[in-house]
Amino acid sequence: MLKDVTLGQYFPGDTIVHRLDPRTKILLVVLYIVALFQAKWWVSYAIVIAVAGLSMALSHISVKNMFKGLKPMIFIICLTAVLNIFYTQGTPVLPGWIITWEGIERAIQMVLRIVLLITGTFLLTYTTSPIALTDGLELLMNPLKKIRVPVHEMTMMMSMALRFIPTLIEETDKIMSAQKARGADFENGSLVQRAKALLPILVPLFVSAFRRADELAVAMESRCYHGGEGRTRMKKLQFAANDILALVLGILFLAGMILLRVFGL
Amino acid sequence: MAVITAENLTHTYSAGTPFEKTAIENISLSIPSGQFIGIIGHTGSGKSTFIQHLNALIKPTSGKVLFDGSDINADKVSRREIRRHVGLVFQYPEYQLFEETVYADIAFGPKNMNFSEDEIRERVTEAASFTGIAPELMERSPLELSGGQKRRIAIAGVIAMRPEILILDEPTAGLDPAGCRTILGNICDYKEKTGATVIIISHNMDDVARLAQRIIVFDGGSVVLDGTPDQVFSQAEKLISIGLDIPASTALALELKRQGVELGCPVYTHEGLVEAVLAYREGKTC
Amino acid sequence: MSIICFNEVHFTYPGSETETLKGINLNIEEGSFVAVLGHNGSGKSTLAKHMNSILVPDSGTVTVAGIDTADENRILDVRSTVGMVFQNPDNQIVANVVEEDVAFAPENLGIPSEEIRTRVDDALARVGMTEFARHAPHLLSGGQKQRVAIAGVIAMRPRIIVLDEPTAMLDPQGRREVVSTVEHLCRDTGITAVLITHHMDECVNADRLIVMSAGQIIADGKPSEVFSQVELMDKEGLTVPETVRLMYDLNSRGFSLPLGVTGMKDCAQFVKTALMN
Repeated sequence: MLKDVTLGQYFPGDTIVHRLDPRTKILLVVLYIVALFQAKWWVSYAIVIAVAGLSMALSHISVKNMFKGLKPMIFIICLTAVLNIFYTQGTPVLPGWIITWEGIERAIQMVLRIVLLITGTFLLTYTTSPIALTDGLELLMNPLKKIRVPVHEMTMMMSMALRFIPTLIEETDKIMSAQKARGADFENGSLVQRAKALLPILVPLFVSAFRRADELAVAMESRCYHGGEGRTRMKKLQFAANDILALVLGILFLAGMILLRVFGL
Repeated sequence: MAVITAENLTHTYSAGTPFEKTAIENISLSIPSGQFIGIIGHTGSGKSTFIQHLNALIKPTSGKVLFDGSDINADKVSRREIRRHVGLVFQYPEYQLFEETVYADIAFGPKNMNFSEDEIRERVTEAASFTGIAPELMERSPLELSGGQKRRIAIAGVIAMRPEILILDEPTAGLDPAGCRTILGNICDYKEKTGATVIIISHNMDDVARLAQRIIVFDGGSVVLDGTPDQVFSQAEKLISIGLDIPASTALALELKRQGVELGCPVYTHEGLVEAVLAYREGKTC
Repeated sequence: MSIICFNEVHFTYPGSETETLKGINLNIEEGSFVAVLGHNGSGKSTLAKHMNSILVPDSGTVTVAGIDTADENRILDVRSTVGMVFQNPDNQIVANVVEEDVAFAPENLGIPSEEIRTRVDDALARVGMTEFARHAPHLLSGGQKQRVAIAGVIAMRPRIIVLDEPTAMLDPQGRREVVSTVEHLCRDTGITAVLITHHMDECVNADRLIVMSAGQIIADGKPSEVFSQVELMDKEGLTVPETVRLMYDLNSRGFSLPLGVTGMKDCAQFVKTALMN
């Protein structure tokens, strides 16, 4: 069922990771991603895996939930693996084969890279409420307001989008069932037929999304929303000792990864 | 004629995960042809899950659904085939309208069943007349019509498949009293003229009491009461104890009884209550 | 004292040929619980939307707490005085966590953080949702979502709360939750409540019941007085409580019972007395 999709979902909790300032977590993810792209060989990958594993353990996110989040990406992951296996030059696994040892190695590394990349970003969204996340983003990007980037509007739109993901997923489920009950067939037929069969789902979904947006706008205005100007927050973001510690560790991690890269590990 | 039977039906959502939840458990019942059935139960009692089993939208975790004796989940073909016979109208069905014209939207079901153009036209016209949709509306866009009209178009879309069993999940939700009366009238009409079985889920006890010949009460994923309105509403205390309403007339009869006026016969409709009070005045007990 | 005043209000939606509000005159007392009943298209939602400047009259005036709703400079004053709750609970909850949603309006008003915290806790307690403060709204029941929406509105500390068909999409349990929350709010805090609905049973406990039809007010008074006009209600396609309907039908069969009785006990008492004589 579509409901099982956990993409972008927040798991409330009270772990040390949950309590970090969202700005810290965003910066950490950036550091993590840069570090991940330094990885060239198995030692580096092993360290990144260890760091990701440790973060998951600290935030009480189970491997199972993580893999559930990865499910929608499976196609991209497989495609990457296949492309790398077949299109990397090198020593054939067996004489005359197109598959090479280098290809296999590269495929594994690329898959690892994607999985680790997604894991890192999911850790952020799993442990940070979307509001905190957008608050953090807004504050981090605040300097951009000087050059007239509509930071508040952008982050508000993002948090709305996140808020409505579960609602729209549920709605998609309902519409699909309703059309199936009218004999719609989403499983059989050619690719074109199946693409056409999506119309009875997409049209109502868009209509309803627009209706929701409309009603939401009125509801927000009724609650005195008038842009970011003069807006206060119930929860003020504040850096604590843990945030500084985490950032220092993050920087050390990146530095270590750069060193490893220099040594070709 | 079509008989649908549930045998030891159980369904568990997200089986094997921490979110595991048994929605219905071990339900066995048979629905003979031509009955008007009301299903009642509060939100989360399993009634919506149950009806989605009847046209194979949900596969049972265990147990079977039989249509005229054969398992509807036997294979892919039978799972699709059953939807010609069992029509299901979801809650707020107007949210599924998608075609450019009312006609095309009602025709969606019959088209999926691969009928000829003539056959489709005949079915659409018939369904539109059952639901009181005026011919001049047929070429309009369904999206620009009123809420009540949209609801009737969506119901027509299911009726156009001429189901022998028509199931409706809260067909009157969100409508005003006049809209409710029209829709319920349409449904009764369909039942009367085609002899179809009608199953309706409703929170409105007065409607259920007035229309249904048989009432099935769900609570906590099981059927706790199943019988005629007489039998079901005579157990008013039980209904209240599981958090359900009772018809206003039944409540009033109970209040009279509490004050010493025993009407002597089960009351569950307004007309019944008036007659019972009049009979009491004449010194009769029904 | 009247807190909401409609003075000869006319309104037509752009592109529509018929007037939706045809000269409404209405004064609502501060602290009262007013129900507005009417079928779809009667203009009752349009009336509600005039109370907080979502719509402004084509002609005539609407004032709330003395402020003209058409005054664009005072729109925030109007909206923080009149809180609105809408029909679809999903489409008015902005945040992913209940308490953050309740904080939304005070945040918009620029209230200091500590004060927002107090208001949010207070509002959640008022609607009985304190234990759900950290929950995700999409996992709540319909009735609970609407109570969160009500909390989100009362966190603004408005003097009036207008609910535009808040129960239309709810099951009976949710409807009871919402209506009793509104009743308590009105009785305990003295807030003025305007409840728009098409369920007559939700109007029974109101101080005043207004019936709308085709853009006009066609009945206005105590619920018992309004419901006793059975012929009028029938003509409007509206229902009356079973108690009134019973007495009305018994009267046509030789009884002579008072029609303005909406309580079950009182009704049974009258019927019993009539039967005993």
